[in-house]
Formats: sequence, C-alpha cells, structure tokens
Amino acid sequence: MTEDRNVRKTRVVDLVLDCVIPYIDDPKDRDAVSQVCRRWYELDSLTRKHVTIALCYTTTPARLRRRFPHLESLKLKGKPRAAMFNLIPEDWGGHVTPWVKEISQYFDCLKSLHFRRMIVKDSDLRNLARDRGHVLHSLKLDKCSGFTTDGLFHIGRFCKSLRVLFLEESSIVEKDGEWLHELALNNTVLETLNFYLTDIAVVKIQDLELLAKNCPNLVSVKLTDSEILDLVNFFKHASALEEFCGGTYNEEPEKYSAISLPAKLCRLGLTYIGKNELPIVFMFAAVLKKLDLLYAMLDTEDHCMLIQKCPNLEVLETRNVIGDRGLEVLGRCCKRLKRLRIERGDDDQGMEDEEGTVSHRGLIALSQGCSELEYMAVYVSDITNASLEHIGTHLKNLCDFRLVLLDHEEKITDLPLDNGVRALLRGCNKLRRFALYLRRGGLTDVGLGYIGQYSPNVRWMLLGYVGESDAGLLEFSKGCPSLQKLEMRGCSFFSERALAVAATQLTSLRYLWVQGYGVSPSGRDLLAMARPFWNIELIPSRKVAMNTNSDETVVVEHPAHILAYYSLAGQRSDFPDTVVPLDTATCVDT
Amino acid sequence: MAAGVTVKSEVLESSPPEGVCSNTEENHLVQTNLSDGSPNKYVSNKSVPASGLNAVIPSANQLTIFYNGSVCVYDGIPAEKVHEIMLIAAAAAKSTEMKKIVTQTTLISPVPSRPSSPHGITNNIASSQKSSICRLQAEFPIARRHSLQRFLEKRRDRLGSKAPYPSSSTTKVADNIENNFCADNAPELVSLNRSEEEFQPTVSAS
Repeated sequence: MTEDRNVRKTRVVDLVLDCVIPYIDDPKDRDAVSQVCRRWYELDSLTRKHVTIALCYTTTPARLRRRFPHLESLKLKGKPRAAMFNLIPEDWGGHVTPWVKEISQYFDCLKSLHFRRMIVKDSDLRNLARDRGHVLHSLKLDKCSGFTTDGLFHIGRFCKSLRVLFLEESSIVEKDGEWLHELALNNTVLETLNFYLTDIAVVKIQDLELLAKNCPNLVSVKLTDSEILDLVNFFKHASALEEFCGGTYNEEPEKYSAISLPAKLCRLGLTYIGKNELPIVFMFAAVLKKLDLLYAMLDTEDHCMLIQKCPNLEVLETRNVIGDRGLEVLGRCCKRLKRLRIERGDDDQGMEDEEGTVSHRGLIALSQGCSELEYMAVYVSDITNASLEHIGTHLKNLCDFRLVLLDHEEKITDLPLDNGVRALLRGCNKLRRFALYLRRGGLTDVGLGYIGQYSPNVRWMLLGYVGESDAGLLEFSKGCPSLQKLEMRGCSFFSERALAVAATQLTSLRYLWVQGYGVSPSGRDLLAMARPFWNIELIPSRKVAMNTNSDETVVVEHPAHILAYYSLAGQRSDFPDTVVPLDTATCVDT
Repeated sequence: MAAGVTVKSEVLESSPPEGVCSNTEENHLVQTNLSDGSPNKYVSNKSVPASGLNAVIPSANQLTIFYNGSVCVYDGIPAEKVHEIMLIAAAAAKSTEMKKIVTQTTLISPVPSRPSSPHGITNNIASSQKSSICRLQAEFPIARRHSLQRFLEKRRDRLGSKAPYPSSSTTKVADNIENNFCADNAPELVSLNRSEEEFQPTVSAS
C-alpha cells in the first residue's frame, strides 16, 4: 500500500516537471535546472529549444547534438569581438562548415540559425538550403564573410518559409542580383530583409516591389544605397512596414517632399540624408521610436532640430556630431529613451561640425533627463568624475555602459576617474556589461580596484588603458565574481605573469582577450594560467596596411594578442599561420 | 617665407606651442580650378593657431587667398565653392599630419620590448620628445568600427557632388572660415565678404 502510493507520487512529480520545465527559458535558470539531478538533466536536454554558443571553439557540433537533440534555435559566434574593429586577422577562424554539416544531418527541429563573425562558404549555404531549406524560418549571417551572392541564390530559391534574412555588415562578394529575384519569386512570408551595410549594389527595384506585394507581413527592410525616389512603389506596397534603413538622395531636395512612407513606420535609419531632405522625417517624427543617424549627413544643429520633434524616441544611434547641445535636447525632449549609441565620427575637424563633440556636459544633461536609459555607449572628447557620478545617481536602469575617451584633446578636465567610476558602479547596480577605454593616467590602480570591488553582476568587460601596474590588476581580479568575458587593450604595464594570475583569480572567467600587454622575453609567463580545458592562443604582433582618411596607405603595427578560453573540445586544429597555440600539455596535470 | 593657407587641426589645437611637430618642408600641394578657369595652387602648412581670423573685406563677392608669398584675388566665387576649397585644404593638411604620424610609428616599432615599469615608459617617451597626442595616435590608435570607417570613406567620395553639411546661408560659411582657418603672423590668409546678403556671382561658376 505504501509502496503503491510512492510510485503514484513519483509519476505525478514527473508529470508536473514535464509540464513546467519547457516554460523555463532563461539560460541561467536552465543551467541551474540541469544540475539538480540526472532526471532534470535529461528533461532539460529534451526540452531545450535555444542555445547560444559564445565561441564556436568551446564545444563541437556532435557534442551539441548529443546534449540537445531537439534544438529549434541556435546562435553561434566565431571571431573575437575585436574583429569588428579590424583587429583580428581575417583568416583567424570561426568556420561554420562543421556546424552546417551536423545541422544538415541531425538537427531536424532547427528553424532559426544565427552566425555572428563567422566564415561562411557558398557551399555551406547551398547545403543548408538543400537539406534544411523547407523548415528554416530565420537565417542571420551577422558580420560574416567568405560567401557570395551565389550562396544567397540557393537560400532565395529553396527557403520558401524564410521569415528573417539578416545579412547586416557581412562581407559579401556580389556576382549578380539573382538571389533577390529568387527570394521575391518564392517567398510569401518574409518579415525581415536586411542587407544593410553590405557591398550589395545590384538591387532591382522590381524585385523589391514584388517582395512587398507577395509578403504582406514585411515589417523590416534594411538595404544599401538605393535612390529613395526609386522606392515610391515599394513603399506603397509595403503597407505593414515598421522599420526601414538605407537609401540615398541624389536628386533635388524638393522632389523628396512628395515621398509617402508607410503609415506604421516607426524605426528609421536614413543613410546619407542631409539637412535639405529632413522634411521627409518631420512628417512622422512624433511617432518615431528608433532613429539610426550613424550614416547621415547632419550637423549638430540638424540633430537638435530633428530630435526635438521625436518625443517618443526609445533608441538613438548617431555619431558624436550630435554634440553636447544635441544631448541636452535629448535630455529635455526624449524622456522615453532606453538605448543610446554615439560613435566616433571623422577625426578631421574640417569634415565634422565644430560643435560635434560629446563631453561631460552632455552626459550630465542626459543622465538627468533620460532616466529610463538601459544601454549607453558613448565616445567622448572630455570627461569629469562628476558626470560619472551623475550617471550613477540618476540612471538606475542602466544594464550596459560603454565609454571611450578619445584622443582629440590633450588636456582632460578631470583625471583620473577613480571616484567617478566608483560612484557609477555603486549607483548602477543592474549593470551587466561595462566598458571603459581611457588613456594613460585615466584610471589609477585604486580605480581599477574599485571596478573589481563594485561590479558584482557584470559578466562582460572591456578595459582599455586602465590601471598603472600589476598591483592594480591583481586587486581588480579579487572582485568581479560574475565576470565571464574580459577584453583588455593598451595595458603594456601589466606583465604576462600578472595577467595569468588575474585570469586564475577571476572565478567565473571563461574567455579572455588582451592586446598590447607587457610581453615577456620567452612568452612563457602566460603558462601560469594553464589548467585543464583552458586553451591559450597567441596572435603575434604584425604590420597591417590601412587606408587613412586621405586615401594614403600607411603601415600600422598591431601589438600581440592573447586569446584564452575554456573549451570542452580541447585545442582547435584549424589554426591559420597568424595564430600560435600555446602548448599547455607540459604544465597541466590532467 | 612660406605663408600658405594654414589649416587648424585638433592635434595642433591640443599641443602646447613648444611641442608642436611642425616641418615647413612638408608642404602639401593642393590644386583646384576656379571659375576663371585657370589652375591655382595652394600650399598647406602647419603652425601654431592664432586667436582668430583677422580678415579684411575689400569688396563684395571677392575671395582673397595668400599662399607661397603671393596674393590672389577672385571675383564672383559662390559660397559652396569656397567651402569646397577650404575642405580640400583641410584634408591636405590632415594628409601632411598623417605622414608625420606614420614616421613616428616607424620610429617606435624597432623597440624590441617596452619596460614594464611606468617610469621606464616615461623615460622612453621623454627622450623621443613627442607630444602625448602624437604618441597616443601612433602607439595605439583607438579602433573604429569597420562599417563606420567605410561610411566615412564613402562620404568623402561624395564630396564632389555634395558637401557633408550643405549650408544655405553665408553665416554658416563664415563660421566655417573662422573655425577651419587660422592666421599665423601673416596679416590675413583668407578674406571673405560676410555681408548678410547671399552671394550674387557676377561671373557664373562652371
């Protein structure tokens, strides 16, 4: 009798778990669930729908398949983030081929695929389209390279259920425009089409129009530099459109006042738009939620004029030409702002507005006016402790803060920033990501210690030119209990040994990238961080040819990099000549 | 005396006078055609910025340029053309600057390894007598996102057809003059009519 009751209780518990666990979505919660007991581990395996692999060399395709056989969504990242800034060799690695093979053969439930900073070949796209094309809903090739429009042709022809095609900032070799034609012919469910910031130039307007006619749910289109006047019919048919980015304005300004944009449009990025074409935006500025002005031709005054007409703005991306005055207008007029990114514009003063610099003045106005901010990434020319204190006091929802101090000005109002950084970190207790890129003397060892001490929840950090010596780095590494990924740059005053010890002391660390450290004569001091499952790679210093603003080629020295990360797969085998694996076998007691 | 068109740049603005990296031998030649059809040459020099532009305005619609010890006066120059000339001169000055930075990079790279102590670094820097801004730029430039870099390059390519910030008033042009050009010890480099009226070219520019 008692035994019978126990059996029934066990079954009831299992049934409840079967119902509950599929609804747990947060990756951290999932991880916790899977460690409770064998049964929960198995339930997690069977019901896990999405996995993000932050670095494709941390595991293998087969291992992923065995662990999570029923995945519906996969996100894979390849090259280090520094590749976005041309700091990583193009052939560093991050090939999707082994993953595509596994996906094609075994992942029957997979609908959504996102590759970021990876190398994709046309054959990968062909195999993907052929084997998984009928079920693929979303394909994102995000800052990827290695493929051509021939690969996209297969996607366009065979992926009839595709709702999302995202190619933003990928390096695509263009053969022709047939891929878009195929997509337009075969697809009726597309919602997002994005080839923004690519080199794709052969875009037939008829194909875009056909796509708009055939796909009633088309809500987001981001393209290259098509003449806006040619898109009148496209806009007419794309009645559901909410987001549009791209375009160019080569005709007389008066012609653009007749443009009629879709009624639901509320997220806008107008490349190359100038002062004279702004009236296009004024008509519906009041409903705009997102504005991308990174690639606009607007000066400070234009920014001010436009922003004050956008009281519902939630996301703004632009260059520092917005100026402090623009940030004051933001603080006054855009109370709902959640995300702000201010990139570094042209360093040549003749090419940007003279008012186009951001400093502590703008940051203070912003922190007082836009208290809903969650994400803030800013390049500044001048800074004070007080401005960082204001941010700590007023921006209580800040989850992601990134600050770069530019090298335009010799004299900075208020350095070092130790006390400001401490106030910011103490005040913004929801911070998950933190980036601080300064200059020599910008932050002392004491300030670096504060970062360690007051970043309990930060998981990702980028630090540039902070601290003064090994002592500061070691003090920093006593803290940061949640730090998983650390990127550092411009720290020639940190020795290899201190870096190795710090990496060991940071208890949650699983990924480390450092450029510009104090290289030891033998390079062997890094081995102090050797341990099981910890891969260490070096990218030796090299000379890279770059084009300057004046179209001259100059040779720039790229300092050495360290990349170190945990991997269940062990050392990778697809090293290019530019990468040297550090042999840790002799130092690890396995 | 090489008193050419002088363009103020952020590096010069920031440097103390004694630390300026100036080399009058590195003049950069800029050539453009104006409305009268004759080719003209402008020479760019770097020099310590003065407090402001001391301009003489002899008559309406007149552009006066001092370069290489000569004075050239032009009639009927449209505002946007003047703007273009100044942008080209500014870019030329920038180009000269970049050359110096490259030289510094070359000087720095032969050093096998840097001493780890800040004091050693200080000595190394002091002995090379470079301003800290030049050092920062040469040593470890702040990286720019790839997509933004390409946009800025494209924008420069579009300068031929459209200025980055088209101005519909002479006030804007005048402001640009004050901020983008500066006088050395020479009496004036550029003079431009700043009357409230728009330019009325007497000869059509083509």
